[in-house]
Amino acid sequence: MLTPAFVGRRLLGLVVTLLVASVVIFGSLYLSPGDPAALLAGGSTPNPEALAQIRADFHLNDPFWSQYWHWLSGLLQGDLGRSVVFRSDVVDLLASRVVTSLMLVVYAATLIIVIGVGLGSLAALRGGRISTAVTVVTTIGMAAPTFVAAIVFVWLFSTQLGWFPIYGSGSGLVDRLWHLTLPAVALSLTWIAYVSRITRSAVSAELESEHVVTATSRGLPRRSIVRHHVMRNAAAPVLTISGLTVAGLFAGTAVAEQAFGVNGIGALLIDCAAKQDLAVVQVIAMFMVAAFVVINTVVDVISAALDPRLVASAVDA
Amino acid sequence: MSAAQLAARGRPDVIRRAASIGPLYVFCGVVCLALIVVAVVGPWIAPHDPTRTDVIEVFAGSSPTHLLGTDDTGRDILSRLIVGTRVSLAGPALVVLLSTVLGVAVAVTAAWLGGWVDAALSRVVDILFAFPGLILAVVAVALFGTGFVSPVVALSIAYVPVVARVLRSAAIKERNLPYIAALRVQGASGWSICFKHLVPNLMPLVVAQAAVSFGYAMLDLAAISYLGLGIQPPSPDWGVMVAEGQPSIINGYPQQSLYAGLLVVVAVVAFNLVGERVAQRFETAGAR
Repeated sequence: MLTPAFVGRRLLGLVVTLLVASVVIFGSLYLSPGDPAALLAGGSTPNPEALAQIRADFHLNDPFWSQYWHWLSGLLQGDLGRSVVFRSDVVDLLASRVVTSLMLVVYAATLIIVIGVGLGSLAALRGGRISTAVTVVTTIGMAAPTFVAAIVFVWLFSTQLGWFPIYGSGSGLVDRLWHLTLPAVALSLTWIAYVSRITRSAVSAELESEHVVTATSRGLPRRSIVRHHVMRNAAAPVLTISGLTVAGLFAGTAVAEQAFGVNGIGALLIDCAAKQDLAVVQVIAMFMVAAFVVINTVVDVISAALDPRLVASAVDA
Repeated sequence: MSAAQLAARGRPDVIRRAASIGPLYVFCGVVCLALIVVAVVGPWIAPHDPTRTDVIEVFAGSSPTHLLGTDDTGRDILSRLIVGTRVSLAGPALVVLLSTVLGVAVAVTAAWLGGWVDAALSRVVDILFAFPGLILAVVAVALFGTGFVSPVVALSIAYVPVVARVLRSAAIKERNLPYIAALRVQGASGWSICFKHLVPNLMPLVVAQAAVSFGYAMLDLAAISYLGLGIQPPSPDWGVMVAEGQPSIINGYPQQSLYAGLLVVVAVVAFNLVGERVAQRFETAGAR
């Protein structure tokens, strides 16, 4: 059973992980040699007045834990600090871009789950030639990193086909989705292949399991066996892997957005890292780590609800 | 016994062995070896200076002088790929080395000392799992600037939890074996047991982990170079070359990006397949 104790422990683990991660990300400011104020100015060498201003803005003269508390409570209240390099509030930099990146992640996640699970189930249930075809497709997909897929797409669709825009974010919902199609496909290729392999082996394992053989020998219709005994049992591992994959997509947006000139937080993260704009990098890194941890926890809890044996093994461990 | 195996009998040992491994793995092994050789001797076998520009020979197609053509500033693409091999392989090699050393240290310390040390280290490893390698690398670049070192160190740290988690459970199993207790009774110190017996006995698993990680590290580093956070131009690096060639694709000159991208894919696939094969071998050897 999905006990409150299990959910509670997971939530506690989530909060502890996020707190430690936030200390690490904030504390990274003090890892580098030199003056944190100069670092926050983004590698340029500002005059003493500007440095003093930065020290005051970022509370750099306070003790570490007080600075940290100021930063964290700001984050939680939507005050994300100020970018010295862009001369703008981080909230304003992120506001429009978060939506674009979320759309990209949701788009890619949909492709991964629908096509990945679909191909994997098809290969396991049909077998034969379809299975071989899926093996070939997934082998190629597994070997296609986002940035290589991206340049192949840019080449194919810019000079040869011209079906999809290869640059920019677009405006309006339909146009934006249209612009996000190639980035989403490039981002999801490897993971579609991965999820479909996991799905195939999970479904195959269930097909050969004793209870399915028993159900078949009792003459139950195949359709109902597949639905109630095979897919239901294969769902937990497939969900876990898909969830892990989707959780990691936020970090992957950096490459996909950069490659197609999409104006999202991933591209902003790379831009700010290159310009050494630490204030923005810290906020986006925290956001991506948080998204990863939260999605993982949600998936853990859903998997446990689907397969109560997981709760038992988690309690044992 | 299959026909291939029958045919392999009586041939020299090397060929028989190659036949038993399978042609795909042999091919991948040859690709890996060739890449390693090129990485070592690259600067001497490159037909042209990889950084010499030539305003007249811009975007030249394939020709006897420039086998793969030239880029937007007239530099020879083949020479740049050849010279770039060293840095493209050295990065992942360093990541694997560093993460393996750190991971073994964490795993053996946790397994040997147990108790609160184990609990604390396991917690740290759990939390490190929450940081995707790319994010750690980006934060490192924001702190220390772009270049070869920051991404390599950051990725090494990001790979530690994977190594540590697998080896910790193996080390705990090993520690509970009777021979360790026997060594203790004989008065051997913890250090000497760990270094002379525990770690050497874990080596097969360590090698297996390292072999599998190499391809992934290569992919991550190539992506970081592509994003412009790693090695800086004009130094030749495969990831950098993919990025540098991208603006020219729209003008109808996709060569540089496509060749460099293809090379990344071929290298990663070859090292991955060989790595997995090595891992299988060493894991069965480790299981005895």
